Amino acid sequence: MWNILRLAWASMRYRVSSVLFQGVAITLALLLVFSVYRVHDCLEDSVARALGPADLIVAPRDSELNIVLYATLFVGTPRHVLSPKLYEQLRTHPDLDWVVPVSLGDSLRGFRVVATEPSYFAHLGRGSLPIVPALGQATLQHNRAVLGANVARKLHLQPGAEVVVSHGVAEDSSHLHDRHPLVVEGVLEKTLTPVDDLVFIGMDAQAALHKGDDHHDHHDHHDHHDHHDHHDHHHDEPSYSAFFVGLKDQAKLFQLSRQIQEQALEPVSAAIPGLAVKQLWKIFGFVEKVLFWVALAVALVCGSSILAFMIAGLHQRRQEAAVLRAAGGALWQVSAVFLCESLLLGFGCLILAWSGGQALLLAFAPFLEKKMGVYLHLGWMHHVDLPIFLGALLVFVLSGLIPALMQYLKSQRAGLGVSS
Amino acid sequence: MVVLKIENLAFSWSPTHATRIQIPHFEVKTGESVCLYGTSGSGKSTLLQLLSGALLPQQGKITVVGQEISALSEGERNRLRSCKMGIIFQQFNLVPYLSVLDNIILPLRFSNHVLLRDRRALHERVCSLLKRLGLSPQELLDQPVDQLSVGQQQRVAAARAFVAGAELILADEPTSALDPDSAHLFFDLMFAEARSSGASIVCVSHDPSVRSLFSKSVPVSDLTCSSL
Repeated sequence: MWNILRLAWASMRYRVSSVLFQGVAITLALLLVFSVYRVHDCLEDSVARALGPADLIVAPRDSELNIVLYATLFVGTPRHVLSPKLYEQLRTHPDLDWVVPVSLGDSLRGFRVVATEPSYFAHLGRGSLPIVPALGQATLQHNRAVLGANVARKLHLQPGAEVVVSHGVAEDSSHLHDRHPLVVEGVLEKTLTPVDDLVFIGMDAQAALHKGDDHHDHHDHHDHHDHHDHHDHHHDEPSYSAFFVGLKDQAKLFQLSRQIQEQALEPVSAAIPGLAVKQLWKIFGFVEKVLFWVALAVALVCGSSILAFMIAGLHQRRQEAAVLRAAGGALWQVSAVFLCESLLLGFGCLILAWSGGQALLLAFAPFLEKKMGVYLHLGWMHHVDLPIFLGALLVFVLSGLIPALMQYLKSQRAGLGVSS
Repeated sequence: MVVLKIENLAFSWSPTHATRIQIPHFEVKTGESVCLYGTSGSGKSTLLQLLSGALLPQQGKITVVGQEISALSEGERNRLRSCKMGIIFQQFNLVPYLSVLDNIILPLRFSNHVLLRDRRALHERVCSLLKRLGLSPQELLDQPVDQLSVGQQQRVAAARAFVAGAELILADEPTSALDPDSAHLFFDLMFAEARSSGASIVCVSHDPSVRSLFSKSVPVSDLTCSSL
């Protein structure tokens, strides 16, 4: 056995440049498979985390997916608003544990402003953990604003700073609520969810902003406006974009969702975030399938590249095989040298790709987190690693076995001859 | 003593193949050096392969140093080849990715020879062998084999053939790639080594000028017809 390994190793060192290039190609291919799966899973995970712990989201009638997109991921905006009467109805509902209202539509230099109540921080943190301020406090009283971690970092704002919120969500919104500057009272700790990119203000603060803006001619900014233009709503009364709802009894989830939809004072949908996201992944389900086929194709490319390389080598190496046989090497030993070379190369690339993948993730995790809010878990073994490992090994064994077997049959037929 | 004995040997690659070998009787005694010659396609090289045990005859018996090859297992044949036989090919005798030293000691490795456990003795043996074959161990041992001249390569191959104490050297046109002077030198050195180690030589060659160097030279056609 030692002889075989020694021979395989020496042979690979002899062909070092071609082995190296082949190795690089295979390693890169495997690296692709490893990291693509990781990032894909991390994305799913990030979205699930971003949804937060609300059981239901009650919003103006719309598709579940739309509601979840604007209420939790802050993509898009609602087209209608809900009234305080509905809020009251929900708040007094005996089966609901908690209700947190949000109102969207303003922004602070490109970051979305969420008008809500302080209970938001208690109920909509990570799992059962509340969101706590890293600096200052989060009372949302009067003209106070609380910043998500990224907002504070990017805009270089500290508690005590004065900010002016603008109407609409476009970054260059020129319609500033400059008559009502707000004071930053706190900065939230990092949550790695969309919360990091939000600015929170109280419901009364929002009402005050818009009350003072009555004299503005809103039609100039039509594009930037979301809810206020489309509805004649009373600025002295708060209007809501959605309500996050926690249930007392999870078992009544579907029942309550239906009940709220049927009995609400206004036309609403009670979206179940978990279901909506399942819908979302169903839409993007093909991505997963594509990934799988890409991974498979990559593995086959790796395998056939080793295979082609070894088979091309067989012809040139028949003399070498004859010499080894002449010196007393068994048929299986000569073949095993060939097999060993494929396996050494394959296994080496596998280890390299895996550790390279880990290193890359380690290096890029902070970047991805910062730029994209994608949280990468850096466990030693990802749950797809093992199948990838085994699959790749299988391919390598096969692509090593075929030339080894060909070599075996060749030597058996030809004896020590090199002509046939 | 008889090192090699052939009785009623019959071999063909396939029923339609042109080369057919049929040898009723043939013997090589200890210390003898035999040159087999004949036209190409007469089966000289095939015969050598049969003698080495890499191919098995369809009929008859080949006995090498007292062991009947067909009766041995594959493993025993490999062992016999690494311990008792030395084989020299026409060219490309060396494994390109091994050093000269590693090439020479290949048979020792495959037979897990005791010499491997004593590095100094091993080195000594290889060096003296190389010196006797007219090569300089200091220059050669660590050189990549592809930097050796063909003459040097063939002599390194001879060193490998002798290193394990072979009793039968099988050589298949070992000098066909060499110029006449180098060819004669090669044979001189090989015979000298064979004499001192007591090995017998069976060599295939179609070069008439070297036949006189052997103690016996036999046309392959004679073997085939010597059914008498």
